Amino acid sequence: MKRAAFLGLFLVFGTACQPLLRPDRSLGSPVPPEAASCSIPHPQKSFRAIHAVDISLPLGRQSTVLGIIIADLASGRLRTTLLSLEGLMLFDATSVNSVTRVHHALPPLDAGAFAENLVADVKFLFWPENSTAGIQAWRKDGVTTCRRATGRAGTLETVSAGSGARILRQYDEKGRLLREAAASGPVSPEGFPQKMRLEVHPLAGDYSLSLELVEGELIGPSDSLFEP
Amino acid sequence: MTIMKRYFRSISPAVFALLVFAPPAECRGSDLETVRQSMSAVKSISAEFIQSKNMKILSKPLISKGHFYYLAPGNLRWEYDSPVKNVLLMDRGTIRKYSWRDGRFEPDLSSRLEPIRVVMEQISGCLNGSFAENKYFAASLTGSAPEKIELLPRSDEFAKMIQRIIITLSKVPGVIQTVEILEPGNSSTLIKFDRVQLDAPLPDKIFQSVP
Repeated sequence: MKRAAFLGLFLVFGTACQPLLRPDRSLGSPVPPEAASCSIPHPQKSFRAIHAVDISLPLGRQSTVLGIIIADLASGRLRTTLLSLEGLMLFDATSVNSVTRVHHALPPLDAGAFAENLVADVKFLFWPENSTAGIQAWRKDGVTTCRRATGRAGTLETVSAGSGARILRQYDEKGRLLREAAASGPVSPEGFPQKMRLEVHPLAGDYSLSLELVEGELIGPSDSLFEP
Repeated sequence: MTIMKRYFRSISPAVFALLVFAPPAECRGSDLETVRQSMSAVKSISAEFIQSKNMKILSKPLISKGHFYYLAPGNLRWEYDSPVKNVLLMDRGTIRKYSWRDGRFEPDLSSRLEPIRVVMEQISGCLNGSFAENKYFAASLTGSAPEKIELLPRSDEFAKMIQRIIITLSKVPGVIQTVEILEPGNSSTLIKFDRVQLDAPLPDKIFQSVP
């Protein structure tokens, strides 16, 4: 009896926290998750990338900056830098295992949760969890949908079609959409999509970013790349 | 994302200070008064430029290329061709910025960030060559062959963004050779000017619209 009650509680609360990980017939028939279908295109080794970043806010307000990302995948270090097109440094920060340290930030980029949100955006786009452990996958009409739990009780979803198109979505613990990204254009041999578009939904910020690769390279990361 | 919105509403005037300082500063002389006189005599400028952004996190400088045009008394077109197409226009006190998106130029929000007052102060200061009267930087003439104008920020707030600007004058009277902007953290931006033409006729429309 106690075991049944426990199982009932687990089912109620467990699935309530991970609503998107329940079986979902609308997504098609369950299929074994495969890395080829469920992985997310991004460099597999430490890298440095420069993107032209178009930032769009509600009411059609837009601006363009240059973004530099240095990622050391092995040690969990990430550096993000924003430059104006004129070359002026607007923002510079390092994140080591989720602890973010801001080296330089012009007002108002020096306040509030800007750094944390920027790091979250970059990690979502360039540093997703690609383990196939715990993934559930469905297929319908040639489209494969994969979902996996993330660290904060949220869900990460990839949608891939045979054409190579790939969409990445991030949901919170209640199944509400936070971020959505789509890659387009060719993917470089190093694993950089030529173009990416990120929609950050109102719960996470309400803006969008369009990124176009300027240059990207795999690197052997040295400590100096992450020092102020 | 409130902070992002704030950024677009109230960016520092430093960017425009740089833009305005660099293009019209074509001059040569033995003191700032001579510089001022040389600048006042210039009616128009057109040139190409190569901008090298140096940072220790980059394996090589980030290169940007473009053109600029200046027409006295207050028209400016500062145009990047690569890596991101972008145009800044100043036309008789009105400033507009455009970025290339989806195959066409579209207004860039940052043109609305800057207080028009600051922009106009910078423009008028450069047209007059009155570096000494500039509220953001203190100027001094240094070196010889080539001569250099060194600009130091007057406030600590500005020094957090720009530590120093060095304008190197060309051997050709009235022509600037380079502008180097030194920032905190061992970062710098070097702008080299080439194919400089002085006082060539420039149509008004290039300061009023894109492309």
